[in-house]
Amino acid sequence: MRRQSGEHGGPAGSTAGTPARLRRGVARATVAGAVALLLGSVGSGVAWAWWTTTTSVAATVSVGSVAPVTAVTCTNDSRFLYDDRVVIGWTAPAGTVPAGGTRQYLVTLTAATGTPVTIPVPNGTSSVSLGWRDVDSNPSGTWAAKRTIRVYSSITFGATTWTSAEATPLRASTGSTTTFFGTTYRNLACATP
Amino acid sequence: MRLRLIAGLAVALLFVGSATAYAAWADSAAVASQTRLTAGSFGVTAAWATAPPDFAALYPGQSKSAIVRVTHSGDGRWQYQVGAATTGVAGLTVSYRSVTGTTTCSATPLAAATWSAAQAAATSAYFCVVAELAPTAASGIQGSSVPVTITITAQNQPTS
Repeated sequence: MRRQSGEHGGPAGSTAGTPARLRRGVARATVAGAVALLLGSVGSGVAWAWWTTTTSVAATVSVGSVAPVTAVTCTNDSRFLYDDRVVIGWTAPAGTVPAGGTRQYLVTLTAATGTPVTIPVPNGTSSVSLGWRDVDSNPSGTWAAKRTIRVYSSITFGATTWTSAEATPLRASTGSTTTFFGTTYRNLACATP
Repeated sequence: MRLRLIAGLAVALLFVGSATAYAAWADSAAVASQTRLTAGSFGVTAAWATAPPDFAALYPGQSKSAIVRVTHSGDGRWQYQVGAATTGVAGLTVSYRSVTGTTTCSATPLAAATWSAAQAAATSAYFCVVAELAPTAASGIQGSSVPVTITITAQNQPTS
């Protein structure tokens, strides 16, 4: 029997320990020891398992709104030997003002050009009388231009102010002058929007 | 010669006889047929304590609340957590609070995604849902209406 490489001493086929077998044996023991150490460190933790389930409830969350005024009117207020005026009227929204809010009304007059004029009206009042100076205090200014009149309801909640959509129908005013005995009168009159 | 034979036989018997022989009595018995092994069960349902909840027409600085009842069925202790809810509307928020008794929202906030204390099996727990509109909410969100889903997750707990 031919001796295996690395063997020395002993007859052929002998199972006496040889450096090669010793090295393999030591290697196996080292691997076994490492595996045992790994299993020991892994197996030392506690394993948990539990049941989980989900369910739900649904709801709708909504934000309130400021109700607009209704039935807006424009009435001519003609005066002899005085500047004619217009009276804008409306019907207040139904219901109470939300808690913590303060209501007022806003009447705006907007011409084709220039800056709109806004006139605040306190709560509890449902009309306002307007003369040319309310539109433009400059006699030679834009007071006579045709203006669309819009009325809004507005509620202030301390740190914020909410304004309603514009009320219907829309109204309009226009201006003209008359002279009587050398005095010029600047008149506002209701017009078609 | 004879002595060598006897000595050799004794040595052989020592090696053979050095192994230990065992014998044992055995018997068997059957467990009674009506004995059964079953797994436990676990279930949770949720509902508004007062349905339908009213979270309508919030104005700046206002809040409205409603109570949810979470009920467990099955075995073992359990605990729950409530998922965060969003509205997508600036200034409109949904949050949670604990409940005093079963009908009153307290002022104590209840954190979302946080496990509750362990509850006893087959019991109900309550929490309060609060919808609030910020005092500075802008006029542009008037009339907004959003659906909100509040998810409750529950898990069982060991008895130890």
